[in-house]
Amino acid sequence: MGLLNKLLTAVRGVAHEAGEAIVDEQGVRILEQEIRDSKENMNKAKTSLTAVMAESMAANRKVTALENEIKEYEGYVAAALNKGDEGLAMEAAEKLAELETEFNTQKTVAESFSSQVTQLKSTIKETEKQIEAMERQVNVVKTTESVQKAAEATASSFSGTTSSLNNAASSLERIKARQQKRQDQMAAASELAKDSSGEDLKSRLASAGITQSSNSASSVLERIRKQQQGE
Amino acid sequence: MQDVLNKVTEMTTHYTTEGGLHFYSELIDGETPLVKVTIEDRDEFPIYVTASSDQMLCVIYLFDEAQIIADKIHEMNEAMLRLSLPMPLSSFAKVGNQYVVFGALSSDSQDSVILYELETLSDNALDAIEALEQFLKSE
Repeated sequence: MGLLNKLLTAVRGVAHEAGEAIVDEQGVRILEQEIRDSKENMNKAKTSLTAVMAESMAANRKVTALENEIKEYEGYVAAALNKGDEGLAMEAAEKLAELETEFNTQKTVAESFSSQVTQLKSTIKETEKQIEAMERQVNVVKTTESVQKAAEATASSFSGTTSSLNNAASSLERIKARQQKRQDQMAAASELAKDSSGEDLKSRLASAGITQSSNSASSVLERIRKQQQGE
Repeated sequence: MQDVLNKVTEMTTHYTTEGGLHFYSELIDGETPLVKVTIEDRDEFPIYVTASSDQMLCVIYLFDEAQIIADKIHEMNEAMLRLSLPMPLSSFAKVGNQYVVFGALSSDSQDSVILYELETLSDNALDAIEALEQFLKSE
């Protein structure tokens, strides 16, 4: 059905000036008209499906009725022959031949109706799928347009700084710089916190071997040993 | 549709991710309402969220055609097509003359899924610009 191709026509891809509508209104209208046409066609198909199904049922009933009549007359012919009434048998046989001819005709009609029913049902299903797909496309086009419109509106209302029209590479640099600054600030803050608690000095003294960590295993052992000696 | 957007606005107003990203958002009314989600320190690349009956679209504008070095457009388009598949959850697209990254998700998506989508999309936008910087004019 070439839906993507239609979409490509609807959304003008290249050479778009800022502020210009990105969606070709005409293209959307064409798509919408096609949806309406397809829906109308589908409704027509559904109406004819009902009619054809009724015809098909009637034809099948006729076929069954003829089948029964044929069996009946086959019985009559045999009975007449048994009685030795050749004339009556012949008359019944003529009627039987007529019935068989009609049966063949009706059977063909019934078959053609039932294949029409199958055909119509699959056409309707197909059309329904197409309509759904087209509606989805129109929706995407409209959504895209509104995103674009809103993006332009918000970009212009937020002065230059937050505009998506700004240079992307320098925006990224600014973001990175801000992140770095934040990290530096956090590092500095934690450095400051360490300093003020004297932790930094202590740990430097400890690593220089000047002070001993109070909770080292050897100091604990020493303390307990002294307690035992004192007892 | 409006319900979905209200939900998104609510969940992204003053939300902080585990990684420490602060979200804030505003609902913008209009013919087609949308939510503008901004992440602190990444103000230049807000996320626009719209919703229809079956899907939500999350879009970040990257740059416009004018920012691309003239004779590198083809090469960049090629690179974008190749990057689209390995990029988690997001894809590249073009709206008018603007290049975007976007993610589409079901309108029935759980909150956690939507938040993860927004965070990933924002990360992808920054990653993408870094990767594509070589094709862009410096200023």
